[in-house]
Formats: sequence, structure tokens, C-alpha cells
Amino acid sequence: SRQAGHLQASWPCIINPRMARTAGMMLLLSLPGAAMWSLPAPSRRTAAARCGGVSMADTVEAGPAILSEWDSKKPIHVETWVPKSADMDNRNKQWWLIDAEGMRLGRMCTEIAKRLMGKHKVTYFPGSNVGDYVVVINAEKVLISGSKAKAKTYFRHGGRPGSVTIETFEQLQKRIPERIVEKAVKGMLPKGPLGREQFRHLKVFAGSEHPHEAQSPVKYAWPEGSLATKKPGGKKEKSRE
Amino acid sequence: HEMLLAALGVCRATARIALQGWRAAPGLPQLQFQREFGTRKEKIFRLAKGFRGRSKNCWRLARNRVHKALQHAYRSRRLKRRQARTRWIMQINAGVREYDLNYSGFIRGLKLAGIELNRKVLSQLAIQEPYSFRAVVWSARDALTSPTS
Repeated sequence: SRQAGHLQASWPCIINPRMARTAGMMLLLSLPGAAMWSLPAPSRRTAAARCGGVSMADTVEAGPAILSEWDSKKPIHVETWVPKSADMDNRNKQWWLIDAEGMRLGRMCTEIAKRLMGKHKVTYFPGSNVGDYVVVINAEKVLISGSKAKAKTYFRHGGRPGSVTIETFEQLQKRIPERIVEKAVKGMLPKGPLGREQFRHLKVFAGSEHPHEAQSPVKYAWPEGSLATKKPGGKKEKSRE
Repeated sequence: HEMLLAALGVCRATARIALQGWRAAPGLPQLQFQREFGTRKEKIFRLAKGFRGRSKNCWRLARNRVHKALQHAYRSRRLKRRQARTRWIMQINAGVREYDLNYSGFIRGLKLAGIELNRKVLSQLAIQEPYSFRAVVWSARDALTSPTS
């Protein structure tokens, strides 16, 4: 049980900043050298999977040893982690599968954008391409709340005077349903060369088939009570109650 | 060298770093300080190496670009520290969300638990020492659910 393996009983309350730095530094120094510095993306499963079944006592260092290392007056040089080329390699990236059927458009797209940027990872590093690939299926069945189906407009200009086209959400969904999800996600990604590259990692399909079986995308499990899965129109029902 | 260190009573490490800036020409005693900085123009052109086009070879262009580059360097030395902290916070946020917590709640729990680890150490724990990070998250979560007054 969690209580049995909990470190709090043996972990001293870190009130003293010096001890805190010491504890952190000692843990960093206990690494076996260069091997740990770069972690290929697929090897980092969720923390729960990684830590399962290991007692916390294994990782605790003895008290007196920490103080003597720190007092040795040697300059201790520990580098913070930066991504290596293996972490940014497209071949190492995780593929996610998201079923857009019955999902609320914007709330689903924020999660997609987060995954494309890599902000769901501890190894996120600004300016580096540590995001994942996302495959979206059933894009034609994505939902939108309120009267936005008739009111939300998509604008484009052909470059010549008078060549303005405005179409509603419904019309675009009939014409090119993938574009709705693509436009939404594109607006949520950073603008720039890296953002454009991250956008290329998004693959949207109107139907339920996708040609990326070879990449074995993992179906994304939406968290409990996620607003993306909540049926649109719930707000009105609540106010009536 | 040794006598200087003893006289100054200075830690060996810091003295080594301080002495690295000194240029010891061959044949001269080690502590002799020799100025080899060059003329005013030589100094500017040395800093203009790698600049695009004529900005590295022509005086007026190089002078202007170098001055701007130095201003950028001054500003960026301060920005570097801010951006590093932002990065650590984003990394901690991502790490903590695996435990159904968010960054703000986590920091509050740390304060309640009396844990004073800084964001740099926390982010590095999250990346490289997942078990230790999990222990810290649990301590924070415990402090949140049963806060000490």
C-alpha cells in the first residue's frame, strides 16, 4: 500500500535550505554518469508505470555521507538536463490516437496542441521539438456547443479584390471536415518554424480509418471529468436546475 | 601560487577560477598580468567575427553591430535566469500533472510541508530521479489534504 512505501517516515523534513540543496545534489550525483542524461521519448512511460512496485527505501541515501560530500570543497558541477538529438528524433516520438466523435472541439484541441508541443512531458524544453504525433479520427463527428454550428464562420481571402469567402461551421464540416480540427489546433500552436513543424505532426482524418497503423498509435485515455468529453449543452441544463 | 592562496585564505576552487582570467606569457612569472587587448578597432573587429556580410569587415557597420550585440548580451544574461526558471516551472507542471495535481497546488503543498527545494532541483528530480520526485509529490499532497496549522 502507499502508506507502507511512503518515504515521509524516513525522509527528514527539509527545513534547512542547505540540506535541501544537499539532498538534491546528492541525488543528482548518484547518477551513473552520462547514461542517464538523454532519455528517448518512448521509454518514458507514465510515472505510475515506472515507479510501480519499487520500495522507496532503495533510493534513500545515508545521512552523514551527504554532508561530508558537500563539505569537501571540491567544485561540484552538475548540469541541468537538456534534450539530445535522440530526444528530438521523429523516429522516437510517441504516436497518439484521438477519436473526435462526440468531443467538444476546442477542449479536445487544447489537449492535442499540448501533446504536439510536448508540454505534457517532464522533458519539455522550449524551442526544441520534443512533442508527439497525434492522429485524429472521426473529425466529421466533432461537436460544438451553443449556436456556433450556424454562427461560427471561417474566413478566407483569395488575394484578389472581392474574392472573400465566408462559410459557417456547418458548411465547412460538409465540405472539408478535417480542416475544422486543423484550424483549431493551428491557432493553439506557437507561430513560427517550430510551430509549423509541430503542426505537421498532426494527422486528421474525417472517417474512422487512418493509414498509420504501422506507427501503432496509442489511444489517448481522456481523464475522468474532462471537459472535452462532456456533452455540449450541459450548461443550460444546470441553470434550469 | 600556494603562498598567494594561503595569504588570501581563499578556497582553492574560487582562486582557480579567478586566476584563469590572467594571461601568463611564456618566460614571465605566472602572476604577471600582460595586456594583449589590442587597439580600439582590433577589439571591435574581434567581437564582430561571424557577423553577416560587411558587418564583420567594415568599420562603421561592425562598430554598430557590435555595440548592439553587447547590449543584447547584457540583457540576455538577465533573461537567461528568468527563462530558466520558467522552463523549470513548465517541467515541474508536466511532472506533477501525472499525479492529478497542478503546479500551483504542488507549490502550496510544498510550502505547507516545509520543503524548500527550489524549482531547478525539483525539475531535475522530475526528469532524472522519478522516485524521489514521487516522494516529494506525496509529501506535498499529504500536506494539502491534512494541513498543519
